[in-house]
Amino acid sequence: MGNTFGRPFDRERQRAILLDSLRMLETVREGGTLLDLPFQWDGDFSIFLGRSS
Amino acid sequence: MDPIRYVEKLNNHYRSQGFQPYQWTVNDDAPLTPLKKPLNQCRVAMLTSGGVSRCDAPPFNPQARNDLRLDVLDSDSLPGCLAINDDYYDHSDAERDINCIFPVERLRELAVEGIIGAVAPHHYSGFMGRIYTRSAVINEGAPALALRLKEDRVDAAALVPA
Repeated sequence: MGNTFGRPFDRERQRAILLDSLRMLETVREGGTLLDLPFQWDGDFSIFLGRSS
Repeated sequence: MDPIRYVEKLNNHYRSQGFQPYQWTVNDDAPLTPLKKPLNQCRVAMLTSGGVSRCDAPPFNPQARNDLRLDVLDSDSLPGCLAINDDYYDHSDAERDINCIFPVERLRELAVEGIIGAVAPHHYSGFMGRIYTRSAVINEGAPALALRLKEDRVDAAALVPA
């Protein structure tokens, strides 16, 4: 979470995720379809459960 | 890397805090409205739920609950100066590059390339924080957004969770 389209300034990845999502508008034939994109997060990842402010 | 079992982890987290498990929405039906024209003729808008506001507007409440505030953002002015106020996700990367969560510049490039028809005149920021009143989303928040999209004659909208 917080990196829906990848890393900062990674224009290529950001574009690819956005474009793959928009292309679904033309390809999906059934409501509720979920598509797993092929992109992998290439580093450590910890779940962020919020903080108090 | 294995997928993160986010729902399971959140349920465990809530339980450890003494709360009942979160009542996730289950939608039995998801009607599909096919595009009426090719993507390269569509006017596309985008919404972020990431607590994003213009610097000259009041900030979102980072601990908000049931906040149906919807900000209308002039798409030509984006990104410009934006503030992020939300305590429920890590927005340190998005502070450096808003396109991590709200790729307004990438969308504009797709329009320049002719892959989409046009960027809509307005993008949106709303549905942030924790919203427990799902009926308010269905009956108030979502229809208010849909009305704005219709007024702008938007063909497709990307609703981006943060």
